[in-house]
Amino acid sequence: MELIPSLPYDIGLECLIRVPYDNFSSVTSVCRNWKLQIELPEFWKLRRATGFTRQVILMAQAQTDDPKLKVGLSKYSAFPVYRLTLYEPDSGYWAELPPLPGNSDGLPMFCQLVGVGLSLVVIGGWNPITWEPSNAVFVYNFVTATWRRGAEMPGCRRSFFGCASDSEQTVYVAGGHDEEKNALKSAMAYDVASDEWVPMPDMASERDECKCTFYHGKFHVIGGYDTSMQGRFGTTAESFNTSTWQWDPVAEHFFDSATCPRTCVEGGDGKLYLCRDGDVLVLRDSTWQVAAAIPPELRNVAFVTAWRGKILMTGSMGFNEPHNTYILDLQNYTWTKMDAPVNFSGHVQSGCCLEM
Amino acid sequence: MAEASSSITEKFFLTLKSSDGDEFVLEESIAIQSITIKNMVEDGCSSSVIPLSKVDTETLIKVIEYMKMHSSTSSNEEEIENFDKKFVSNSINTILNILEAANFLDINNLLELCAEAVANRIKNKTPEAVRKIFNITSDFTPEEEAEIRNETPWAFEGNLDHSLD
Repeated sequence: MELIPSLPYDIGLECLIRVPYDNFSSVTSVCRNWKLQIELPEFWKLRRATGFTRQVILMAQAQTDDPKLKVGLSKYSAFPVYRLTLYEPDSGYWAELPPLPGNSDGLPMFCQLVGVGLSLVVIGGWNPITWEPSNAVFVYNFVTATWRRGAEMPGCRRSFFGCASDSEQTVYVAGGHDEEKNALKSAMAYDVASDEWVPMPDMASERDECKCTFYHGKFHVIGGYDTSMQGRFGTTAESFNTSTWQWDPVAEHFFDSATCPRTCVEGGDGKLYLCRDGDVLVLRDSTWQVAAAIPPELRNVAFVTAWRGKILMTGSMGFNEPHNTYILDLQNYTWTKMDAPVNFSGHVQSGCCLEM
Repeated sequence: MAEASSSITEKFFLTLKSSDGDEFVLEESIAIQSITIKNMVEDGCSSSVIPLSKVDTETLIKVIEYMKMHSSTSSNEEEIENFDKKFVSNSINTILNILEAANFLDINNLLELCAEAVANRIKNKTPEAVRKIFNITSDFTPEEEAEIRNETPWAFEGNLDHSLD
């Protein structure tokens, strides 16, 4: 099966894997063969293994008003409208994604973003006008450049849950709270390709505002608090083995003190990182150790994500200040400030990174 | 010992024969950038003419040009860079022929250079332009075709290029 006439299949493939992801929607329209090839999971894996993928950060980011239009008014509103933005750290490219279908008032507040293969999954959040929680799921496919509505997250309307993906197939959701603000110990998994939710066994404890990440091959649910603690964070974490479909025993002293786990990320280097008291900490031999001081321009850390030994962090100096983007190299702990145009300097509520 | 002998002794030459029957004499040290040729030399098949039945004269000339420029001793980095830039501006048919030859001769960096050149000819082009450039026939149904045409171009691509170069 030739991809390019007169060239052996392997050589045609060598050419196609070098075409960047933002061309896929037109390249898949060339012929059936190309479409089939590009939609294969193996094609993406080959691009990743050969280094032709690009790192892409997707964010729920506040719109900033054009300073020229609203003289004297604050650029960074207290009740901003959120939209999806895309950033390529290697090329410095910023863009806005097409809006979610049927969400003309902007992204749901506090929705979660997860990357799976060449898809972005947007889960839950509150209606930006009525603040009503929703279990809606939207999937953006970067190959076809289209949105689809996914199967709703089953069960009660869940807010402030944690979620993470194995980056290839499945999104795992855990904890959060229901409409009566009861913290939840339930968890479930969403298979993006088959559009199906599967319940998982309950966690050992309720975990509102927990943070989820894949770490050492297991789905980790870190920190949070139970209903009786209302907002006072705990120190425990638990991990789920996706092959045996079981939770491991709870790690009681995952944090040495009560800690908000929001900024906790796996660095793409097999280590866990956390922002606390102006520093980036790394988990080494079961203790959190200072790795690097956070630059003053990121004093209020908004969003943290990581890939292949790099941490991207956005934050501001304080209220009403523009949000800055920095990248921390985890090999030598050096920071680099990234340029962002004014309209991409709004607050980032959540986000994820995809390798495309 | 090897060093001493190579500095004084005569250079070794190989004769490459294209599918059109033309013969090219090339220094062995340059020719063995091709792993296929290198293996032939090591197997002792290089005393006579090396027939390259899958590479025509026009393509072989290009490949030899490339190997001469990329042989470690004779060129500096800037020269190589400029050469490569000019090299990939060859017509797409020439590039595809060289790509096939690079595959057959097993010259990895030439293969990578040409694969990149092909990808660049695909980038930011309309599907129609890509089909014309590569001589691909669309096998979508007319209904599917109409759908492709009506689909809103996606946010990042900007304007797609209709040109055929």
